[in-house]
Amino acid sequence: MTTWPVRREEGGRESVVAGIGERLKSPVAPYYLLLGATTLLVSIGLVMVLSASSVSSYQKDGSSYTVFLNQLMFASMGIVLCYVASRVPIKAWKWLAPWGMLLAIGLQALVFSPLGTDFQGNRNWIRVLGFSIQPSEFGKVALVVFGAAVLTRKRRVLGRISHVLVPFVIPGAAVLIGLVLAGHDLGTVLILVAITGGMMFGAGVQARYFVVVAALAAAGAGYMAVGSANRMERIQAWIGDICVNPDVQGCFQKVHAEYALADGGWWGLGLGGSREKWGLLPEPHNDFILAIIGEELGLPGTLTVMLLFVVIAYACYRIVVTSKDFFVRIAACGIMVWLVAQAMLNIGSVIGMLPIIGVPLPLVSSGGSALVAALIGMGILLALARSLPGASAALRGRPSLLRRTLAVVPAPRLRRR
Amino acid sequence: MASARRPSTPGVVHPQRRMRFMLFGILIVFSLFAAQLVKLQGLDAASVSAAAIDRRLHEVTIPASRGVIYDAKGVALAESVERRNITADPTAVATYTKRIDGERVEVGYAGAAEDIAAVTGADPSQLEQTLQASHGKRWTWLQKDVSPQTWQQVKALAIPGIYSEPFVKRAYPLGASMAPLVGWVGSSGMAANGVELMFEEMLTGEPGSTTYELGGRGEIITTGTSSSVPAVPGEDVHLTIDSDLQWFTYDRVAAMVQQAGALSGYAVVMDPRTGDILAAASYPSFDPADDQQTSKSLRNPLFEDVYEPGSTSKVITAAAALEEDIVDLETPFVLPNRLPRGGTRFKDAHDPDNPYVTFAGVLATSSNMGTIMYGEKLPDEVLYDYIKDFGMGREATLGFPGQSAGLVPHPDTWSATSKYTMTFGQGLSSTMLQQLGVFQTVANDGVYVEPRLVKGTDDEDGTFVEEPEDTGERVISSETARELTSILEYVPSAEGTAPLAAVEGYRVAGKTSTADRYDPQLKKYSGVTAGFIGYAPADDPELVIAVAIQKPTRGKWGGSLAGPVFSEVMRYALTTRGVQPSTTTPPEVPLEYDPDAPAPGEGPGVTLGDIAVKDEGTPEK
Repeated sequence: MTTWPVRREEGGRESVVAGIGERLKSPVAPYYLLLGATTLLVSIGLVMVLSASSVSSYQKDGSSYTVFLNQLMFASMGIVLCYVASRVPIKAWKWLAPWGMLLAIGLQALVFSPLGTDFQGNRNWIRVLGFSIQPSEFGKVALVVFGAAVLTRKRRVLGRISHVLVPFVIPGAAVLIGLVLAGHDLGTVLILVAITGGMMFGAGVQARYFVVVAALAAAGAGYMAVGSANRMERIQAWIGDICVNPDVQGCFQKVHAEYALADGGWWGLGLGGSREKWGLLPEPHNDFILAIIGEELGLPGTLTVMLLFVVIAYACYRIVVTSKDFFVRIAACGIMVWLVAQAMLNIGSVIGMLPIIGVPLPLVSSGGSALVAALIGMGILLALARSLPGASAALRGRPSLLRRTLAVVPAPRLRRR
Repeated sequence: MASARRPSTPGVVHPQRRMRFMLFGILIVFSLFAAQLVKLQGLDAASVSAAAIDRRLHEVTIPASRGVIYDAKGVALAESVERRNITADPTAVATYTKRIDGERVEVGYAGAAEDIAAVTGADPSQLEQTLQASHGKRWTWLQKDVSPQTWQQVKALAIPGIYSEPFVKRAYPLGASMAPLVGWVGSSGMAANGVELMFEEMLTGEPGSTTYELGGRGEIITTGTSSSVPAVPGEDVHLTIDSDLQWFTYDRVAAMVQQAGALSGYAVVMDPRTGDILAAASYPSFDPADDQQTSKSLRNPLFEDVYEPGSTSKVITAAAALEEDIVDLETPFVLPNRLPRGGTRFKDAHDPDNPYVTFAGVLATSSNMGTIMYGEKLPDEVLYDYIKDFGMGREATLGFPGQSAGLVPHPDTWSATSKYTMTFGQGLSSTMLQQLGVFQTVANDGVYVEPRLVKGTDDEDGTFVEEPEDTGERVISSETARELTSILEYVPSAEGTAPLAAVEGYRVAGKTSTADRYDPQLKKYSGVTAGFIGYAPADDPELVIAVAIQKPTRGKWGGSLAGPVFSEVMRYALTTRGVQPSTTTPPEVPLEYDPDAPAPGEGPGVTLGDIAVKDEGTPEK
């Protein structure tokens, strides 16, 4: 039974494409697109984290489910927070913005207190109540909300660069980014910089500033790369065409990711069939989960994941286009830049089009803080989508969740007949 | 919409335009990514995936289990058993903790050594020392060669860093008594000598292989591709040997070699009708359980040593003379003290007490001169052919590694004395097995059969494939064989040269041989080979046995050294094989004669002394 939305054209013919176009114009379309994309990404993520971590988890703890159950717990927590965030009114977000930013900076500073812990050379974690928390993930949420609130307040003076920079960039973003940089987490720094720049760009700040900053950034990046053997090695591995096999210095992860994707081929080895997750590809359930998705689910799997991020980007675009509220527009832009830029860095690393930077795939990779923070971000996006003109009215017009759920159960009376 | 596009603030672009720009950028980037994915997962996938599989794929050889060597009754003489070497990672063993009285205590090397020793029976201090010696390393052998059961018990102790490696060991349950015959396979898996080498190809089988994908920690990827070619186990070999008899024979030979202070000794037991070798023991032997062997100890002198057959050859000469009607049993002889032939003066070990002996007496008392006196009447070629027909100097058909063919010089190469010496067994060489063949022929009614060591083999399906029996080849008539037996029965009697070779209750026929032993190292005659070969029961021979003691230092006569061994082995073999004692008595054969008695069939007044064979000088050619 197909449920394609069908529109009858004047000639009496039915057009599926036209029907979909009609639906996308609905004020609730961004809301459902986001809800659907989030649900699918989190579901794919949970299944693939279980698959990708099963071998290493078993070798480490004697159970294939340790990593998965941990991830499931964070997903449940994240879904609750996502729901809560989606119901928080826009006004409340605006009010929360400065306090959230202060809290984020405070938590990030805690990393350098005795509560902080090192992981793989990055001082980026704090241990609270037996949980490891990565404050910088929540910092991304805070930065988006803070930036949106500040830029909204300044919307009349955004033509002057000083008003754009203070207090959003200086001190807000700069302090947060500085603290993360001090913990050597370059991947998160890149995302935070992208969010900051993306929001300013989205807010309409003149392009020439971006050109200047981009030029400076390129020069700085070049200087830093030449100054570090490790970074040069990664860049060599990326564009040097030296990775003929995994034994070449710096190519191990890249080539094994290629192996995984090639093993998967067009249609994949089937769910659970990955070979490279058997201790060959490093970080199979974290940063390189896309390689395992490609190995097990083939090209449809990897393209679906990318398509879902495009769907999120499109929904954000629709929010910006539809909304009349400047805060909603900038916040949607910020969250989109966060999730999509992170997805791009991650996917680009895995498929060898970018140097390996080491960021998780949002909503999919294993990692509690990242998943919870991304779900809060999605919650905020849902709240923004709900605030669109006509959306809340349309959503309120629905039957209640209980009625909708029970509707699929045949009525007992009907059965008796 | 049109109003929305107009910038509301000077110097600022509307978010909608910026957002459209960003969405456009995102679509372009993701399109490039999608193209790259199509390349990686679709277009280039085949070759990259092949390289990936190639790196993960490992091939492991499955060793083929070596075939078992059985005796005639199915007792395993050589079999392959799985054993384990216990290995250790000292770094991990050091962390061994145990719960003692409810508390966790790190017991380390000492605790591990103690627990393992309690299971394997090793010396705990030795094990601890081994671990200490490799401190800081990640691998060492802890204890070699334990049974798989022991390893399971050690494994159950759950001591960290204790591992094992399996290997297949060749076990020889019957030890030294079988060793020179069965041969030996060392830890390298290479066969050295004996039946092991003889049937190397059959026993080895075809090793198989398993191919599978390995993960990063060396574990098998269960979902990966795997294939295996099963190993084809080696075929089993069934010998004609009776292991009980072999052990008894070995034990007796060993006792005699030690008692006589001899260099070595060996004995063969054969069924004269089939040529089946029932026992082939030699001493000194080696312990096949040792993992190091020298090539010297591995050689089997029974098959490899050649020596002058001595008196055994006299049986051939006698058989030829009887068969060619040169003599009969009672042909009278007059033995001189010295017999000049070919520039040499031949003599016997003792000057004859009574020179008037019959042909039977010549053979029974093993007179060299008497043998020459009738042997020289045989044409050269005839004598040579008989020697060959009895199996001397023939190709070694058994296939035993290092088996010698012996040497019988062709008449063309004979020297002046060759023929004379060859009649009584000097100037030619043979293995003990060939000498046994002479008696086997007589015992088997005059029909020579090739010796047989292998009854058959089990082929791949386990079907027994019998080795064909030799149909045999008649060398002398049954009458000649019977006549020879009647003379040879005299040897192990109370009056004969080997009374110790007699077996009570059974009629035994045999012949001693005490041959000068040529020492290839000294390149001269040194010491003797004391031998006895015989068969029983004489009226219907079931067994033929040869015994030789090489270079004894206490005693030298075949009758007194080899005789007792022959007797004991023969009695044991006859009784265990259920052969009924003889009910008949040996026929009377006159060994001496009265030279003054009238010769039968001659004219009156002609005495036996007149017609007797006397030394009449070198016969005309």
